[in-house]
Order: sequence, then structure tokens, then C-alpha cells
Amino acid sequence: MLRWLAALLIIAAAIISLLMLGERREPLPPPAPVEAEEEQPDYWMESSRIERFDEDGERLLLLDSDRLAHFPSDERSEMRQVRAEQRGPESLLWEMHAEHGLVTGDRSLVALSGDVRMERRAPHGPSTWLYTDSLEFLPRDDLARTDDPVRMERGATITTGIGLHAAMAEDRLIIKQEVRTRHVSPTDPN
Amino acid sequence: EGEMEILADEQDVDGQAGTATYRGNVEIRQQNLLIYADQVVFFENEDGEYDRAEMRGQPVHLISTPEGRAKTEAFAHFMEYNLQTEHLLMQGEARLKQERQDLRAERIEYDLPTERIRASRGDGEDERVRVRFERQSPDRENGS
Repeated sequence: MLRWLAALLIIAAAIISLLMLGERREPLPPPAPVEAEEEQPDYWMESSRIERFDEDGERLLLLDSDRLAHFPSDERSEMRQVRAEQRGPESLLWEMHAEHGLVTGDRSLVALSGDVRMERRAPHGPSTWLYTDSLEFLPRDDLARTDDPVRMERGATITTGIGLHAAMAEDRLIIKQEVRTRHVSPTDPN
Repeated sequence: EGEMEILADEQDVDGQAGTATYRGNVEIRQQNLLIYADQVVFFENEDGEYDRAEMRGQPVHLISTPEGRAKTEAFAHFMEYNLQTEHLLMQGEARLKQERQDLRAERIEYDLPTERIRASRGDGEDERVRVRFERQSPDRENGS
């Protein structure tokens, strides 16, 4: 009986010391972060131009940039100093400028960012200028949109607001929230 | 005309139709004029300037406080305002309040510069033109 008791005591002591050992062990150092290898473009172009035409050979879209880099992983293209042109109804022209542009692999979206400016150039009457921080341009849908603050200027009329929806084929500009327009007519000195 | 300021929830500029529509809590301030409406549509003339506005509301509320003249308040479900001539057409439970005169009719035309008013009845029996003059309060009558 005594021998059983002694064995039990020895086992208990062993378990306790193991537990104590476990706590004191130094925590394993966090694994070193694996440097995500920055993807390299498979090709790039200086002063590049992309054009798209409709079935009748009329140009629909023009996309210029100082530098275009193409990335094979998702077929995207990243551009610098971008200028995009899209035709509207009845010789109306939409022109967009931005510091950066990203064209998705399927070319359905051009994400513009950095000092984004959009001009609505009509055959008659003053141009309309829009200024914002970023703009999603969907050439196939004739659409440009943002949720950022927007400023629109046309002649003596200045409008600010939040969010823009530009239906370019229908020649519609919708500012979605917090609209404030100031119109200074010619007779007003200030 | 001077400076005009417009506040609204949303703005919709239609280049083909030559209109700019303001929707939701619309407030227009222009010198002595203040207008509250649910929706206001501005129409462009050939020079690309907005020269006419159609306003809708429940009702549209217009307050005019020209210098040196009495304040005028106008209410109607629909108003059309010519920004060049400052001519105002009101329709739908139209009402024009000036100092002690309170005019109600189905349709009222009001020329802001000349203050000329033309009111006409609606089709219904209870849509005749009604004018109410408030009597001057006694102490003002005796000049005290």
C-alpha cells in the first residue's frame, strides 16, 4: 500500500514541475514578416495611348498617360498623368484628367485619383468643370461617379456637394448630397 | 439680380434639356427674396443663363422684403418665377399676404417690381377670389 502511495506522490510531483516549467518557458519570438514581394510589371510604356472604337469606326474612348505599367497577375494597368476622353450626345465631349489611373484587367473600370478634373465641353455655351479627389470612370456604361466632395463650376455658377453621378451618354450630372449653389450674375460687382 | 444662393439635398443638371433641378429642402436666397420649396427646376435660355424657375411644394413659401416697402409673403403649390422680369405666377391654393391684406385665389399673378396683382378664381364653387383686409388697430387709428 505504501509503495502505491509513494508512486502516486512521485507522479504528482512530476506533473507539477512540468506545469511550472511550461510557464517559465520564454514566449516564442513572433515569426519574421515575410516581405511581400512587390509585383513587377511585365511591360510599361511611356506616353501611351489607348483608343476604343465602335462598330462604325467612330472613336468612343481615348486614354492617354505619361507612363503605363501593365501587371500580369490581374492584367491591370497603372498609369500616371492620365487624360481620358469620352464622347457624349451631339458632339458633346467629356474630358477627364488625374494624376493616377488604374485600368482593371477587363477594361470595364478606370479608377482615377489625385487632383481629378472633369470637363463637359459643349459645342455652344460655357464648359462645365468638375473637381474632386477620386472618380470611377466606366467607359462601357458611359458613367463616372464618386462619393467624394465635388465642386462644379459653369460660368458664374459654382456648386458644391457630396457625391456625383455623371451619366455621360444622357448628359446628366447629379450631385447627391448637401448641394450649395452660388450664382453671381453679371450685375453683381463682387 | 445680384447674387443668388441655393441650398438643397440633391441637384440634377440635364444638359440636353437645359435644366437644373434641385430636390429636397430647397432654399433660395436672392437679395430681398427668400423661397422655400420641395423642388425647383431652372430653365436655361439660349445664352446658357438660367432665366426661369418652376417651383413645387406643400406649399412653396416665398418671402419678399424690398427695401423701404412692406414685406410680402406668398404661398402656393406651384410657382413660376421669371428671373429677368421678376414676374411671379402662383397656382393651387395661392395666397398673397401684404401688411393688412390677405388675398386667396386659385391663381395669382404678382409683378414684384410694380407690385401689380391679378387674381383669378378656380373652377369650383369655393374657389372664388377672396380678399380680407384687417382693420387698423384703434391706437394706430388715433395716431397715438
